[in-house]
Amino acid sequence: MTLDWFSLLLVAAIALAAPLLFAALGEVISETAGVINIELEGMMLVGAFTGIAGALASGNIAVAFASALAGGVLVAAVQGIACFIFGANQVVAGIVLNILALGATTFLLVSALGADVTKSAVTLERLPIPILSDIPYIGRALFDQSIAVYLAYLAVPAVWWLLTRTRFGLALKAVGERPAAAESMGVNVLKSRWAALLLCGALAGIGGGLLTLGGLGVFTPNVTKGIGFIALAAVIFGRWKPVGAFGAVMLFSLVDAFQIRAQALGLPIPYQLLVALPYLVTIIALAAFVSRMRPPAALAINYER
Amino acid sequence: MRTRHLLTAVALTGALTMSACAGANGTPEGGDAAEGGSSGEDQLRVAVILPGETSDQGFNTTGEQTVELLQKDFGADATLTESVNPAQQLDVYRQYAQQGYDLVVGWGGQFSDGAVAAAEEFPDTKFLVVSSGVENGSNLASYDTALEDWHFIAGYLMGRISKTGVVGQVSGQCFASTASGQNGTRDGAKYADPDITWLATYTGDFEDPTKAQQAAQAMIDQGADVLATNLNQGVFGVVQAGEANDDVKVVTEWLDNSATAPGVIVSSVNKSYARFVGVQVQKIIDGTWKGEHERFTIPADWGPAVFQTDTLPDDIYQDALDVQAKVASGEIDVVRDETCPG
Repeated sequence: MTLDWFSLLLVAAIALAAPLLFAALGEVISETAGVINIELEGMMLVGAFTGIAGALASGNIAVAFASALAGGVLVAAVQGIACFIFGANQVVAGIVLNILALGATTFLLVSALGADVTKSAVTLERLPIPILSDIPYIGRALFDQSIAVYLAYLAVPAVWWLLTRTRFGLALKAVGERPAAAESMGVNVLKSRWAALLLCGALAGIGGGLLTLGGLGVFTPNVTKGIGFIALAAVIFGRWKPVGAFGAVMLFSLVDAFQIRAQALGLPIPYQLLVALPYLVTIIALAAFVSRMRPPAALAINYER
Repeated sequence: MRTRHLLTAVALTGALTMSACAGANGTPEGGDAAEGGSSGEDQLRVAVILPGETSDQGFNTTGEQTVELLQKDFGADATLTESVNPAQQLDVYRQYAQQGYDLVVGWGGQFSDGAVAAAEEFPDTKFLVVSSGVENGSNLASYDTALEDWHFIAGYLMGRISKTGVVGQVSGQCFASTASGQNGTRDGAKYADPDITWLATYTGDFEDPTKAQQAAQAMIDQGADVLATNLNQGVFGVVQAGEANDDVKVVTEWLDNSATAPGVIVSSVNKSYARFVGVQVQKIIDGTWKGEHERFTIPADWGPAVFQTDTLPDDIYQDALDVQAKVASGEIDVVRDETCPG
């Protein structure tokens, strides 16, 4: 394991973390306002699907990401209608939406895309930043990625600013902690929660889109493989803070990138253990920190006037 | 409150129906009778149970080809079910047996347990599992192939093509049959170039293209320029890694799918199981079926074990065919190695 090896590990981890980061940041916003999205995985899966569908239909990467965003928002909208209008339990609705997203995308893959999964769509090009990308060891990892990866990292301070420095962010916090008090102070609880939920859908949709449009170029059934749940765990592990979620996502991605590289080194470790390593680390980290965690007080509780 | 319960029920029903439509169900599709085949009582009825989708350009596509071969060559009433969850296998076996199918084929060793149980319940129906070792001496048979022989030839190609002296394989899961194939590739590469560096990674999931892409990129970062695969949907990730890097070639398997990524897929291992199912069906027709396990080596009239493509140098291809002849004649003794890493 040379310094070069670690530098390439960082390249892989940074790219790997970006889709997770979009979803986790979206969920931070939503949970701050008291709305939990178990269907984060479904939002990503639908985004991954509509992203590829948009790319195949238009051949344009911007249109593709716009469709990915729309896909995530669509799932969020269904969740909102079920929970805010019909008063469904947020967790139950989320579970149902995950099943629906898996079924619908797999079904549409065959009926709409004609199951021609081998057909490669346009994918995002790398956009190296001059001079910075030549910095030894970290330049390639930090400054030779695609625009979406840069945006994922810029979104961390942006979401922090949104939640702590704007009226909108403060309103979300109030709505997530004590909605009745917020309402009496003139904050529209329902509107705030809708905004947070749809924003989460948009970000998770982009994250899912990045998964397929960021290099894979194809959609395969259940392509997200549960990373939406990892993003969900990252929000808890990151204590509902953007920077915390960023740290959790990076930890998971670094371990994941490490395990897949460690195998190729020929270490005498059963591969099953290496494959499980990122999940083990996540569970251990969650278990170690969970006692000190306090979720938003009104999380997952529907607001009734 | 009543509205809420109703809504939840409707949503659940809808979701489950959608996922059922997506193919994760166990309902056999209607069989397509063979064109020109007689639909009389003597027509053989065969059903194939696939673990994935026929669109994978690999293992499951060859399952579909098997159905086509049985219709064409045997005039059989042959059908298939895609994406059968191994947990639901017994139910699917039962449904076909109850519908009076003569032979039900489990496409992959993961469908062994259900076949064992179904064979006991339905003594008049025959069950066959590919890539498996189960048998009961009456109505349950299985076969596998000496995968190491096929993959040795592919490994030889890889060793010859590589300019960096580093080659590797991205696989899904390790068990006896997949290990024998992967270790055969390794031994073939080392036969071509004893100093070659061999890299191996199991992603833990045949169907995960993202993980496969990362694994492939990790190998490329270590200097690998020829990669083999043992994946289903995951193969797209390896091919994509090949396309994203200059001078990286990929060797796929099951059938010639080089048209999906010309210039990147340099060859494929020609090892479709279709013909061997035909051998079993012929036994049923001849009345010589015994319910036994069989292992097939490369038949003498198999043709090339690796497919030729425009990017594969002809001299290397010809040398690979020589190696195949030597493997077939026993001049090269390929050792079956079923060990997994760790």
